[in-house]
Amino acid sequence: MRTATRLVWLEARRTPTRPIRAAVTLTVLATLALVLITLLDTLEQRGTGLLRAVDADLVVFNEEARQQVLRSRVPRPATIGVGFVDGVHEVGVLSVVPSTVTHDGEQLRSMLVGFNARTPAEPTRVLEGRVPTDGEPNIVAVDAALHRAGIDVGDRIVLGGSLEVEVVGVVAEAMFLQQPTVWAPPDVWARTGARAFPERGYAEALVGIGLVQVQIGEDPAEVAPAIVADLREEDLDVEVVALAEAIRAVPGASAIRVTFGSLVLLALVVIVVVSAGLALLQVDRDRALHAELRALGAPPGLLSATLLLRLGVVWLLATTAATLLTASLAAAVPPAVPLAVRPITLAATAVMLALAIGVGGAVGLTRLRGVDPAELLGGRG
Amino acid sequence: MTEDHGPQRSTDDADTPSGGGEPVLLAEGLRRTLGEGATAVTAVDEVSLEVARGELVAVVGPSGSGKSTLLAMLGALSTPTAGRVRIGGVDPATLDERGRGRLRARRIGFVLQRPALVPFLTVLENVALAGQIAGLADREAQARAAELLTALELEGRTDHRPAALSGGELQRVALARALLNDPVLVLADEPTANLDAARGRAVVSLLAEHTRGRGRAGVLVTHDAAVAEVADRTLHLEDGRLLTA
Repeated sequence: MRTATRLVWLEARRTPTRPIRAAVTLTVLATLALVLITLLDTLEQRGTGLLRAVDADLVVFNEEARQQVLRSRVPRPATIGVGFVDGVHEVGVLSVVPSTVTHDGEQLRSMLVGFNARTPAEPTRVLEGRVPTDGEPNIVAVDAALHRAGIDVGDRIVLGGSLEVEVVGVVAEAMFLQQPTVWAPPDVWARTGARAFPERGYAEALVGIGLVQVQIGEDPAEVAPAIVADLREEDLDVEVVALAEAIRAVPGASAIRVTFGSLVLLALVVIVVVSAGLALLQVDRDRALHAELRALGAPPGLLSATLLLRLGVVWLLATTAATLLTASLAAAVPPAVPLAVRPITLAATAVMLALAIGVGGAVGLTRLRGVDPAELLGGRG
Repeated sequence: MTEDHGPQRSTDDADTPSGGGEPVLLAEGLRRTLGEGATAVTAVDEVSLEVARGELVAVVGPSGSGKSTLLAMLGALSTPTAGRVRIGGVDPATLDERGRGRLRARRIGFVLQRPALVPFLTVLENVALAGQIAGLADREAQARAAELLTALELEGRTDHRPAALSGGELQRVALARALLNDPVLVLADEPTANLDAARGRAVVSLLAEHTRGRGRAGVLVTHDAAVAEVADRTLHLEDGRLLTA
């Protein structure tokens, strides 16, 4: 291993152009992969961030809503009843209405979210300040997307063009249907919602969805039918689904996954195959050197370690450069462009490329070992 | 089908000294078939030869006659389909891959037609690498490499990279690398193919000097009759079979 490390180090130091040339090609592929994955991920996050921001196991919709958050109307007294169902630990309510936020004369589209504090409906990550508690008048929290647009803690904003409120906190980005969110106590939400859509009869008595946390050790899949049965006794037909299923049912989420996701997947397959091919070619280029080292008596471990370490250097250079490039690109584009790089995306892309290179290198090495030594010596003469 | 050579021995068995009267290189009934079924080609067929201590043997034959395939078997780089090889009393077929590597590193020196030196290492480092692979300490390997390069009149080129060397110089570096571990057997595959006549003769003379002067054995594969004249014996290979022993 020492000799292999020394050889790879000396090559990188004395003839950096060779690993750099391969690294540049791989950087282009890695950057493309990162940008595509990030676009898909950001689109999905911005479509479903609201439901990802809460800590719940189950979501309760009224049956006619067909798992659509904006259409769901579950009466508040019914949600209180859910709290008494066997296996339920806690229940909260979440109501969403499309609205606007006016700040410094600029009007932005947003989703107004009414929620119960200290329940599964409360956003889990508070970045600054605090979230409002139930009953507090005329205060809200905004998500990071609105914070990026210039709204800070202490600012006063106008909801729905009529209700002025104070911002007391910033929560992690929790966009819904590509719109930023404003988190308000239920009464603030009901007042704004009633003003926005008086014909729908918004009131504190009607909420959107129920969010349920089950007790530790309970299986959400077993608790869900119990909730449905319990509410049916009160003549209320509801649909109770796992949070992940509710996220998948968000309008547009499945369309993004199926159409854009398929294109991204296809591109990733091409990137993986090309990366593996690049690694294979890198190994193949060292055929003569491999023959010479083998003739000198180099053990198989030294040959494998030298080739794989060299590929490792190329991978490290490429992933680092691709990360920097993608992060710079994400910082340079307008916030409306769905390009928010997450560490998990970087890690997944790095692992994907490492696997592709590893497989390509291993195939190259196996091919090299299978070559007749006479051919490696310079012909079959 | 490979002959049964009994259980494989551990790596250190490659260092076992040879028996007293046994030739340095002994090959018996070597055959090497490439490919399978209808496409199978017998590259080397029933080749037997012996090379004694202090002897340089030339193997000549036209292109495609199986010279390199034979050399690969004699150098423990490939396993014969049938027959056996003993190098300094050791049968490579009884060793595992690591053991064969050690055998090559410590007992065999290869000089190839197109020496593939490591391009980013200096001449001195390239030669010393053979010693490091054989387990020598870095300092000792470098000292021996410097000594050999001086003997081969390359002392002014030790810090150069291979790309800066002429064909003749490259071949002399390859020879220095092959001789670094003082191998009992030197195998040279067309070492003069890329050199002019004078430089070719010089390289072969050095090879002959090593085998005769130091009591080692050498096999020189060539298609050049003039080069073969330097050898003590010449074997003719055609279609994989030896015509003259």
